[in-house]
Amino acid sequence: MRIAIAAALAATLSVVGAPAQAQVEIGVINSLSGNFAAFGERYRTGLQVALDEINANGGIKGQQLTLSIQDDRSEAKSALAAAESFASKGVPLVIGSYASSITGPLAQFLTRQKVPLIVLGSADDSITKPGSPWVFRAKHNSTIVAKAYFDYFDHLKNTKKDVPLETVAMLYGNGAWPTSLAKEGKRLASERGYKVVGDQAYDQGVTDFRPILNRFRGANADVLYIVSYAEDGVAITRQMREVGLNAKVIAIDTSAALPSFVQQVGESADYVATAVSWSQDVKYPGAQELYERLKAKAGGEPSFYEAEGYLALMVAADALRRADPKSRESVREALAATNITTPVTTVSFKSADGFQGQNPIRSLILQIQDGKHVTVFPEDLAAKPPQHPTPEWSSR
Amino acid sequence: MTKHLIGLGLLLAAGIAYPAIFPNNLTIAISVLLFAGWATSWDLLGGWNGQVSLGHASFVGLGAYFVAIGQSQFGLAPWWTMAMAAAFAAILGYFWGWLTFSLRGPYFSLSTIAVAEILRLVAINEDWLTGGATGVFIATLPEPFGIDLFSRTAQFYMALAFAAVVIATVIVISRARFGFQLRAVREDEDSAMAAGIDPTATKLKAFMLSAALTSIGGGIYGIVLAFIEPHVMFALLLSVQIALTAIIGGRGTIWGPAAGALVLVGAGEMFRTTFAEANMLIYGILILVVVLFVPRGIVGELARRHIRRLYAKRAQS
Amino acid sequence: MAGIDIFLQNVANGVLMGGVYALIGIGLTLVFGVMRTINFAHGDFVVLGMYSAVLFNALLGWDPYLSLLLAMPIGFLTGVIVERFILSRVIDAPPESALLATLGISLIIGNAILLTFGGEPRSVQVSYASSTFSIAGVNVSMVLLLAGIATVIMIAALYALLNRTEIGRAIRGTAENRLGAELVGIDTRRIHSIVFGLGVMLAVMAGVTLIPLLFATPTNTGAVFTLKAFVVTVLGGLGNVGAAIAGGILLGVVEVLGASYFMSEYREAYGLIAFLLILLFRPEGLFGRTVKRV
Repeated sequence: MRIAIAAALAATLSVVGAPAQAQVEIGVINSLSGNFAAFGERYRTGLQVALDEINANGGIKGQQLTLSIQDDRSEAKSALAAAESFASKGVPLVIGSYASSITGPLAQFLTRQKVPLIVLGSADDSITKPGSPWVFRAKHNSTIVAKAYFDYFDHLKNTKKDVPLETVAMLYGNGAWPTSLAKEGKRLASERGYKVVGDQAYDQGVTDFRPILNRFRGANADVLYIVSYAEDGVAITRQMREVGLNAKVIAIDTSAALPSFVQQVGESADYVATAVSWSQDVKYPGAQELYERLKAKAGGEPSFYEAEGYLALMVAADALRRADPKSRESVREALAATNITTPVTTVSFKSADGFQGQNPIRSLILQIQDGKHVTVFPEDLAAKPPQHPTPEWSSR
Repeated sequence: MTKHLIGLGLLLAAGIAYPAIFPNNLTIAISVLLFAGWATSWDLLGGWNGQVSLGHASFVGLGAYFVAIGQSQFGLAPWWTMAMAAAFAAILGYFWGWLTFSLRGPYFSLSTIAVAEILRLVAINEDWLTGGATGVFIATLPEPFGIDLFSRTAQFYMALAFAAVVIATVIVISRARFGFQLRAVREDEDSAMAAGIDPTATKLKAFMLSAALTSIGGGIYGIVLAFIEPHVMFALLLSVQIALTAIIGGRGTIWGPAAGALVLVGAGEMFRTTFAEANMLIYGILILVVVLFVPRGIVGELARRHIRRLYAKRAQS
Repeated sequence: MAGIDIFLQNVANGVLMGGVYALIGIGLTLVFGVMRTINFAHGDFVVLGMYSAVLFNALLGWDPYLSLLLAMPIGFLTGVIVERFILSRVIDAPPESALLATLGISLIIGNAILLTFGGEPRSVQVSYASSTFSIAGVNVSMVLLLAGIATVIMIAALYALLNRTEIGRAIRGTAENRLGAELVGIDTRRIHSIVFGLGVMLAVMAGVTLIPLLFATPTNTGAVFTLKAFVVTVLGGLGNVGAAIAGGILLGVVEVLGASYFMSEYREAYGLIAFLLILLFRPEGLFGRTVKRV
C-alpha cells in the first residue's frame, strides 16, 4: 500500500509550481483518476524516470525540462480542457493519454491547434491511421500487435511441426482496443490459413465466462486468442482451468502483461502468452538497467506501461534538443525526423500502409514461465525459447 | 415571465462577449453550456413532470451519432442530422415512455437504466449501425458562411444557442397550460386525471420534448469531440451526471439546472486542476455536502428563502 | 458431450451464478424494501468488502472466508454510521436526495479505495479457485458452490431475523407502513439504521465471499454490481428476502443460457430484458407481495 495522500500532494505541487526562467515545460495529459487510473499511475512513473534522466544529462540544451501534468479524469472533455490550456500556454508539445476515446478527440483538437502530440498510451489504429502530421506514436498499435501474435503462432507451428495449429478461437471485450485487435486478428487468421472456430465478445463487467469457454471447448481450438480488459483476465484464466478448456497456445492480451496477473492466478498463469512493447529481459542495450530504475521509482514490479511513459518523454526530449522549443512547427519537424535508440525500442516515425507518424516498433511476445514473464519471441530478441505446446489442465 | 426573459437576455449578452474575454477557456465553457442545456431538458421530464430518468445519455449518444455518421457516411450537414436526431429522439422517447410510464417513482427510474443499458449494448455491438466499438471520426464539416465549425469559438456559440433555446422553452412552458399540466401530474396523477388531464399523454409529451432537446445538445457534443465511441456516449455515468446536475441545481426551477451545471462542471474542473488523483473524492464530498445542507438544490433553496422572506414581510405589515 | 449434457451443465452454471447474483442483491433487497431509496453505493460496499478481504489477506495471510469475522461487524457499523449521519438527514427530503447522497457515497468509497490501493485490479488467490467436482456428469465449481452455500445461509439467517425476532417484526412493520409503525411505538429511525447496517453488512459479506472468484477495481466494479443487485431485487420482488434467491437464479439462468445459445455480446441485455418484462407485467416480482406501483 502506498502513502497515497503524500503522493497526491507531491503531484499537486508539481502541477502548481510555476515555471521559472530557463526551463522547457511540456504538457502531459494523463488519467490519474477514474477508470484508467491503474494505467495512469504506471505512465507517470515512467515519465518521471525519463525526466530524471534527461535533467541529469543536461536537460534540453542546458535548460531544465519540467512536466506540467494534468489529470483527465479518464474522460474526453477534461482532457480537451487540459489541452486547450496547454495550447494557450505555449508548451512546445503535449504528451497524452491512455484510452482511445480520450486520445482520439485530443489528436483532432491538437492537430487543429497545430500543437505536436506524442501519444502516451492509446494503441488503437485509428489514432495514427489516417493520423495527422501533428500526431506521433512511438508505441505499438492494433495492427502491429495482432501481427506479432500471428507471427508467434506461425513460428510455433514451424518449429514444432508435429503439433498442428490450425484453428483459432477468439474471445474479446467490446471496448475499442479489444475489438480492433480482434478484427485485425480475424483478418490475419484468414490470410495465414487459420480457421476461426470461435468468435465471442463480452461487455466490460462480465464476471462469468463459462458459457463462452464451454462453447470453445466444443470447438476444439488449437489457439485461444483472448483480448481482455485489465481486470478480468484473472477470472477468464481461472474459469478456463475450471471448465477444462485446453488449447495448445493460450494468448491473453492486456491483463496477462500486468505483474499482478501472475500473483492472482498462480500457477495457472504458466504458458500464457501476451504481447508487449517492452520487457526487462529483451535483448536491447540498457533494458535491464531501465528495469531497475523503473522498479525503484514504482516501488513495485514495473510493466511495459512504465516503459511506454519513459519512451514518450525520451522521444519528446530528443526532438526538443534538435528544435527551437519556441516554435511548434520546428518541434513537429524535429519529431518527424526522429531517429533514436532507447532501452525501450528504436524510434523513427514512418508513413506507410495508411499510417502516419507511427513508429514501426517491434512487439514482443512474453510467456509466463514458472511464474515469471519471459520474452520468447521474436527469436533474435528472446531470452528463452517458448514452452510449447501448453499441456492439458488435467496433467498440470 | 418577463423577468426570466430579461435574465436570459443578460445571459446571452454575457455569453456573446465571453469568447473575447476568455479566449483560452472555451472548452470548459462549452461543457457548462451543454450540461446546462441537457440538465434543463432533463428537468422538463424529471423536475417539472416528476419522472426521474436515468437514461438520458441515450439521447446524447443518439444526437452525436446522427451527426457523426451523417457527416462521415452520407456527407449530411450537421444541422440536417441534428433535426433528424431530434425527430428520432422524440419517436424513441414516445415508445420508451409508452413502455415504461405505467411505472412510478423509483421503478420508473430503474426501468430507464435498463432501457438505456440495452441501447448502449446495441450501439456497441451493431457495427453496421454505429461503426461499432472502435468509434467514428468527424474529419470534415461544412463551412456555413465561411465559419469553421471545428473552431472552439463557433462551437461555443452553438452550445450557447442550444442552452438558451432550451431555457427559453422552459420559460415559455412554465407559464403555459402545458406547464401546469406537467406540475399537476407530478403532484398527483389521480387528481390530475380528475381535473381532466391525461397523465400518460402529458408525460409522453414531456419525454418526447426532453429527448429531442437533449439529442440536439448531443449533436453539438459530437462535433466538439470530433471522435466518438459508443461506451462513452451512451454511458450510465453520463445519464447520472445529467440528472445530478439538475437535482443539485434545483429540480423544477427555471434556472436550477443551469446553476447546477455551472457549479458541478466548474467545481469539477477546479478540483481536477488542483487535487490530482484525489479530485473525484472531493467531488463526491461536494455532492454530499450539497445534499445535506441544500436538499432542494441551489436555486430551489434560494427560491424557498425568498418566498419565506416575502411571507415574513406580509405578516409584519 | 451431448447436447442435453451441455444444456444441463449450462443450467447448473446459471443456477450457481444466480447464487452469486442473489448474494450481491440481497442487501439491496432489504434496504430498498424498507427504505425505498435507490442505493447507488450498494455495489461500492460490495467492492469495499472485496478490498477488505484483499487487505486481510495481504497483511495477515487470512483466507477470505476467515476475514468475514472482522469484515461483518465493520460492515454493519459502517452502515449504521452512514445512515445516522447522512441518509437519516435526507429521508424526509424529496426522494432524489437520498439517491444523490448514495451517489456521493459511491464516489467517495471508490476514490478512497483508489487512493489507498491504487488502480490495479485486485483479487485473492486461493488454492481452490479453479477446483471442481462432478455430480451426475455436471461439473460444479468449488468457489461458486461455496458462494451459493453462503447465500443460502445468509438468506436463512435474515429470514429468521425478520420472522422470528422482535426487531424483525419492527423492520417488517416499518417496511409496510412507516407511519403506522411509528404509531404503535416503533422507533423507525433506529430501524432504518439497523436495516442499512444490515444492508451494508450483507454487501460486504458478498464482496468477501466473492473475491476468490471475481476481481475488484476501485471505480468500475461497483456500478456493475449495483446494477445486478437492482435486477435481482426487481426480479425477485420485495415482500420476501427469500425471493432474492429466485431473482438471482432467474437472472443467472437467463444470462448463461442467452450467452450459451445466442450472441454472447448481448449477455447483459438478456437479464435487463427479463428485468423490464417482470417490471411491466408482474410488478410485484416473481414472489413478492407488495405492489410496486407505489
